[in-house]
Parts: sequence; structure tokens; C-alpha cells
Amino acid sequence: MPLLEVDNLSVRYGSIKAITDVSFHVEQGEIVAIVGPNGVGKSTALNALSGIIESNGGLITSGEVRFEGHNITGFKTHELVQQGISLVPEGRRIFPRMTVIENLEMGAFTIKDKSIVNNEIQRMLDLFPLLKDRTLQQAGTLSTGEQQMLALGRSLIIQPKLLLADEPSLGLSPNFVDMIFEKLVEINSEGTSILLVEQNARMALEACHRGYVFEMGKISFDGKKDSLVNDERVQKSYLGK
Amino acid sequence: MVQQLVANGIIAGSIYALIALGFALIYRTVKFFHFAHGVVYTVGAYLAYTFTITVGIDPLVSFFLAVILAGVMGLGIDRLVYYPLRRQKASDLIFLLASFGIFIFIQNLIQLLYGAQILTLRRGPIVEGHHVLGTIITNTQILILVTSILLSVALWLYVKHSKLGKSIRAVSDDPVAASIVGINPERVIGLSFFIGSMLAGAAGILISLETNLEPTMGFTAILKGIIAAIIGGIGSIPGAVFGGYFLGMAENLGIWKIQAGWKDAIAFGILILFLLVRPGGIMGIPTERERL
Ligand SMILES: Nc1ncnc2c1ncn2[C@@H]1O[C@H](COP(=O)(O)OP(=O)(O)OP(=O)(O)O)[C@@H](O)[C@H]1O
Ligand SMILES: [Mg+2]
Repeated sequence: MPLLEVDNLSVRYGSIKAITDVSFHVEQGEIVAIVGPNGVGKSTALNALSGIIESNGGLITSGEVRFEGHNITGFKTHELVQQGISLVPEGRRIFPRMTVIENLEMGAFTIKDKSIVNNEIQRMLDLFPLLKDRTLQQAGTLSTGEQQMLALGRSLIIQPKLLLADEPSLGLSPNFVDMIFEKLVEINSEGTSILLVEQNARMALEACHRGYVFEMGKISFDGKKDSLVNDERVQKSYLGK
Repeated sequence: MVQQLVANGIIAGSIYALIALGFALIYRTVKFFHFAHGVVYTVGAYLAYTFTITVGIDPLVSFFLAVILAGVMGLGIDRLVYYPLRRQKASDLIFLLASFGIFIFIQNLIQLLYGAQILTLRRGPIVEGHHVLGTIITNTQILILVTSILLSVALWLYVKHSKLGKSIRAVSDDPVAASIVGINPERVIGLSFFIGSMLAGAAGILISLETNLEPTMGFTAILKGIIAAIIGGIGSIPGAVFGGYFLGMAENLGIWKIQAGWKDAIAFGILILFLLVRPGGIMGIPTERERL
């Protein structure tokens, strides 16, 4: 049984159809990449399964999302955390007026035991040492790259079974991009499955096990890492070969 | 004379600060002007009156009950009126109109139940106050000042350091991000209405120890509370307290040389001045955040 299954998902914003009959899945332990050009509905797909779509004015018109075999379609965002699903949203959305430590504390909101929370915060600071010197800084004043680290740390603190990440490398300098992808692979090797939406197809396909290519609100094709990297269409459109 | 005006300013400021605090706390999570906050203040005072005078229970117990019920009332307003509007994604204007509607409805209800005449909570002869630094301050006034400061500090510590208090700040920063980390924003909004309304209730009770009750008392109170919150920087907790005392002082010192009838005009003059010169207030939180 796959960890996450998405069947025939359709979403529209008002009268505009954003995605139509999209199906994909994530197996336990996988990194799955979703790539494709701007505006094809990658974020929409992710937001639909994380419940954020409702606050964006989107509507799920058909489809089913199952996590560990349970139907989670239409769950509220805050309920998904309890299931073990964590999201790094598009644009990071850290709490700008709270400190770095407070952001991490909020990431651990669902953990009741204070000593576990402290341990997990420490673990995140070890995973992202850049944040260590900035624990008391207001998160809104961090650089984009540091904010991305914080967003990642905030979502990983609950040790999710599945991490949904929307463009974690957007707007970052090459060093930071490399660092983010290294961390994702590291986290994955420790047992967290990852669904990764990326514009940076080269990096995403490099890091993933499998991938889906989105085009105009649909999945045009999918495959294992090697078959995608060697695919002519992918090479031409996304890898610039 | 000046000393007495300063003392009066501090007492008025204590009340304004409490109203502004609750208003600001609620504003932080819902981002609209909960005008009906003013009528919660009125209800707090009338409940205290009912329990102590009509029912005849111990004043301390009465006040405690009245504060809790004021909190429940605020929560009820949110669940019954604002929550359905939020689900429909109503505009700010709709929220403001709804809030006015609630205010007038409940104010009329109070008038119906208690009559339009003035009531009073005070009993016994008026006692001579203490002479402090050339002013006369009564025990009641000391009570008002001390309670207001204690409640302000307690709220500040709560929001700064407790887990639920931090979740209020998280929702204030970004409700979607809050839900991403597993916070139910609706519960946090409910919490802020409950706490904020208890503060309004407390302010209503405190003022009724000092002056008379009338059904329309909430109107000027909420106007002053809102002005105080804006002066301090809307949504900021220390700002609300600062704004409250600043306004109380300015009003009372302002009438040193002119007639007392100008108090409200002074308050609005200050508001307009702030809106022109420093719209973000002294410690303002930006209302809308630019986002990618
Ligand atoms: N809140 C919204 N309201 C209306 N239309 C929207 C909204 N969000 C997205 N859309 C539209 O839906 C389509 C898919 O958008 P989406 O953000 O999912 O694309 P994307 O693949 O994530 O693009 P990008 O790579 O630029 O992030 C686009 O045409 C977009 O304009
Ligand atoms: Mg996107």
C-alpha cells in the first residue's frame, strides 16, 4: 500500500480549472518530484492535499486522497499534522514577528511533552547550524535562505512520515540550493518520505526516486529517476540539453 | 489642580488601557474592528450590578462571575455571528456592520431589561480619599489602577511566554502558517475573544465602582478604547496600555485650560493627529503583510 495516493484530483478557482483528473502516489521511503513550467498546477495539487487550497479560494471538485489507506480528502490543514504530514509551503510562510526559537516551538505545537520539544528543537538546530546563532532573531529579518532553513526545520520537528515541500529552493543562491537538497536527501534517508514540487528540475530529478511531469493542469508523463533524466522531452524542456 | 488632573488621567487611562487591550488582542487574530467590544464592557458592569444589588451575593464573587460571563459573551458573539461570516469569507465592511448591529441590539436589550435610567453600584457614604502628592485618591481609584496594571502585565506575560499565548501571536502573524503547524486558528480566535472580552468586562465593573451605569456607557468607552489602540499601534499589547494612559492623560490635562466638554474632541483630535503623522501608532504591527 502506498503511503500517499491521489486519485483523479480536480481543482478549480472560481470558474477556472487549475488541475483536472490528476493521479499520483508516494511509496514509503521515496522522494517523489513534481516538475513542470510555471502555472501548470503543481502548487495547486500540493495545496489541495494539504487543505490550504480552501484559504486560497480553490475548490476540490473531484478526487480522493488517501494516506496510509485512510481517506483524508478535505481534511483541514491543522488535522493533517496529527496524521504525520508536514508542509513547507510556497513562499516559506514562517512567522515573521516571532523569533527563530518561537517558530520552531510553534512547529512542535502538537507535541505535548516539553522535554521532547526541547530535544527536537536542539535536533533541528544541529541539522541547520546556520540558525544556531540566530535563535533570538525575529524570523522576518532572516535572509531568504535562512528563512527556508527555518521553514524546513519547523516542518520537520514533528518527525513527519511525509514531507510536502513546495519549491524549497526558490530564490536561493546556488550554495543554499545545494544545502537544501542535501538536507532533503539526509532527512529521507532517516525515514521521511518526501513529495517535492520544484522548478529546479535538474536538482529535483537528481535527488528523487521517481517523478511526475505536469503540463497545463495534467500529468503528461511520469517515471523512475533514470528514465526521466534520460527522457528526450525532459532533456529538451527541463534540463536544457 | 494639575496634580488632580494627572490623577484623574491615570484613572481614566487605566480603564481605556483595559478596553484597548482586549480590543487589540481580538484585532490581532481576526483583523477587523470588533466594535461590539464596547457593549461587552456595558454587560460586565450590568452583570456585576445584578449579582451584587439585585441578587445580593458577595461583591468579589459577583465580579468574578461577571468577568467570566463577559468572556463567554464575547466568545458567543464570535461563534454565533462572526464565525458564519468568516466561513462565507465576508468583507471587512460586513464585519464592521455586523459588529455595530450586535452593539445596538444588546444595548437596546439592556435598556429594555434595566430601563434607561442611571443605576449605581456604590453603596454607603462617599469616603474621604487619601492625600497623595497634593491630590485626593480614593481606595476605589487605587483598586482600578492596580487591577488594570496587574491584568495588563498578566496578559503580556501570557502572550509572550505561554504556549497558547504564542499560538495567538502565530495566528496573528499568519493564520495559514499556524494551521500548517497544527494550530486550529478557529480555537485561537475563540480564545482571544474569551480573554479579550473578560478584560472588557473587568473594565466595565471597575468603572461602575467609580461612576454610574447607563445602557449607553459602552459607546464612548469603545471609541476611546479604539483610539487608544490606534495611538499605541493597533494589535500591540504594550502599545494598547501606553495608548490608554496617554489618552487618559491628554484628555484630562487638555481640560486644564479649556472646558471639560472638550474631552471627546481632544481624544479625536489626537486620533486624527496620529493618523496623519504616525498611522502605525507608537508600536504598530503592520495590518497587511506583503507576501510572495
Ligand atoms: N488563488 C488562486 N486564484 C485563482 N487562480 C489561481 C490561484 N492560485 C493559482 N491559480 C491559477 O491556477 C493555475 C495553477 O497555479 P499553481 O500555483 O498551482 O501553478 P504552479 O505550477 O505551482 O506554478 P509555479 O511554478 O509558478 O509556482 C495558474 O493558472 C494560476 O494562475
Ligand atoms: Mg507553485
